[in-house]
Amino acid sequence: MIGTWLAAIGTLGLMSFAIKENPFYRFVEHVYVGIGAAHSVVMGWESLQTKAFTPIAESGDYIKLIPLLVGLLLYARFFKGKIWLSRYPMSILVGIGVGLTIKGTIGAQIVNQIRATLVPLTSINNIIIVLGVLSVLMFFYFTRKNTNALFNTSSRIGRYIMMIAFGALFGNAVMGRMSLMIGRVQFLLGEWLGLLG
Amino acid sequence: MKSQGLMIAITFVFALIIIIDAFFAIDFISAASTEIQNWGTIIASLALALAAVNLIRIHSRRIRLRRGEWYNSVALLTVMFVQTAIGLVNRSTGEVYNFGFNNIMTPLGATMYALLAFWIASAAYRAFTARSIDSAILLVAATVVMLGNAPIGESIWSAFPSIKTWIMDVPNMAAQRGIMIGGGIGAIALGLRILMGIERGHLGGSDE
Amino acid sequence: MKTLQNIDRRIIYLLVFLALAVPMLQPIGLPFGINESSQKVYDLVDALKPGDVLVLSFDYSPSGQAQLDPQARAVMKHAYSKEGVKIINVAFWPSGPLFADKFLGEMEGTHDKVYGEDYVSLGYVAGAETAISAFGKDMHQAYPRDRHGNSIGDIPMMRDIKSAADVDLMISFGTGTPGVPEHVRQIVTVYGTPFAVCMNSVSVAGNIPYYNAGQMKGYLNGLRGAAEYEMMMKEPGSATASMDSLSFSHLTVIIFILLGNIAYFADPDRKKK
Repeated sequence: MIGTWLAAIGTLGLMSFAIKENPFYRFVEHVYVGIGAAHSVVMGWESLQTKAFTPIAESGDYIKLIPLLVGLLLYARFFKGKIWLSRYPMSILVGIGVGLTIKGTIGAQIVNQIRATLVPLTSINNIIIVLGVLSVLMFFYFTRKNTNALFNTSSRIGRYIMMIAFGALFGNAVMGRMSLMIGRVQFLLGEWLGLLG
Repeated sequence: MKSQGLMIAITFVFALIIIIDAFFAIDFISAASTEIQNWGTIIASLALALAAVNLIRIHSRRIRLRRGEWYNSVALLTVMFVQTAIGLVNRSTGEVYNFGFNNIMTPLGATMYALLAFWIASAAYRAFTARSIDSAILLVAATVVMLGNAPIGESIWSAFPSIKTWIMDVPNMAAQRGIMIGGGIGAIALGLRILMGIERGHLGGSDE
Repeated sequence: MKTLQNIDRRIIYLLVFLALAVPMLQPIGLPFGINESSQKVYDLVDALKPGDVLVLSFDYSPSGQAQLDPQARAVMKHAYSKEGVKIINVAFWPSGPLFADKFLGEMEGTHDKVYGEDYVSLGYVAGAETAISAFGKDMHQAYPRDRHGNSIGDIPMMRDIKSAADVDLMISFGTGTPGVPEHVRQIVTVYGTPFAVCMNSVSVAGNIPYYNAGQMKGYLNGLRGAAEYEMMMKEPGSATASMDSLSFSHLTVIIFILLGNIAYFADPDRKKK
């Protein structure tokens, strides 16, 4: 009961922004930022317990002390003159990130996508797919102004195909946004006011 | 030890271990790759509290100087400290912690994004005009996808869902795949630039 | 015409709100079909046999809850009704485990799965794509403990499940990053694990190439996908109930697009601008 009222007041507080930016909205917004930050800290701490404290304390996996100590250097950014220290954990994270990107992207986003595009040109759909992929790639990679008619035509097709894609994206975005509001209206009318059967 | 060279070397070695492990089955490299990935998760766990520390710095200063709506900063920090304390004592599985999560964080987070429903409707009215062939194509595709998604489209014309599926699976797919391949090549190029030390934005910036 | 060009934004907001709220109070129950992509998700879950391993990855936050909650609720209900299927709940977004807990709480007493024997909640590990990769490679090292503090080695069902190669189906409930691309890059491409996604509508267009290439075997599209799943389960719930609101809000947006265009083309000064 108290929880539902809290949630309803907060929901209305944020929704009031639609009418006008106001002090109540700003208050609720601050509360949201506060609880969001707390959630990150708590989940980060639990993640740390799972990943570092448990293996160190229970399995004697002392090697996990290295990332623990290096990770703490991230907080050096809050000390003037010591910011450079925080770049060591960053360089590790970036190294792992780059490794995973190169490892995963080649297969998932390039090889498998090209393979799936190598379809027989026996149907209109397949022709659109092959031409579409090629023309969009051309659009991105040959950006200089060109007098070649083939390039220009391909670039125009690429642009049109992308417009369809952006339209599709927008159409789905509308559904997504409306769904989010539906969730809140369902809460206000149903859980809070009890108007829904 | 401020050497950027050392940092680039660290980045290079960590990336190399993962890349070698991906393409060759070498036991000790595989073990090293597993270990460093777990290191990455430990460092990332520690990074999750960075935002909180930053918020404490900014808002405690605002309160000290009684600047602007400082009482909102008091609310922010109070909620943050209380929920953090509950979470650390009660854990995130606890009933008290879940009360805050379910009744404050979830509805507020959901509403913050739900407001986008209003903005997108207003934006559609103001900016979605067929000023050129490009925008006309975009507009028609969007409208058909909307009518294909919403049940009312089916009631108006039963073909809307099929046309929507075609738009999604054929022209949209082709464009997104082109973007995906282009983005993939770009990501690898960026990765190689980082490994070679050409791109060093994450190591850069001034110390002062 | 001037009025048409300058409709106050608050009137638009109010009409959108009414288009959502009125159908909830006075439902019509417009019929809707099942998309092939949703049917495939259902069929994948339905085809799971005793002994198969299913991973449910909760990769969303409160912002996506309105779309993802009904999807997750329906899919979980289906999955937990499948006899002998081993289920691993995991999360790569900090809020994920709390959503999983919520659904498990709701389902208490409705299934005969036993914790540790038939299902387990591993919780959240930070690191996004790195965590996904670590999980796929060696679950026992990635999650030395489950969400309740039990050592993973002591959990009976985890004895034979070591990596993503031991998983028969992975489903991600996702709204962003890390999400579909990260799972495809680090799990599907590496281990060939069959993968399906329940996602928010905004993510669908960009992830379609994975579906076309077979890296993603099926997907649910936002609230509509959730409603379709509820219908396939023959248990209409909150998502199904909201389909009329979805219809009328879309109609409102389309009408405003039309009005905007009429105002634009009827404006005699348009060419000068």
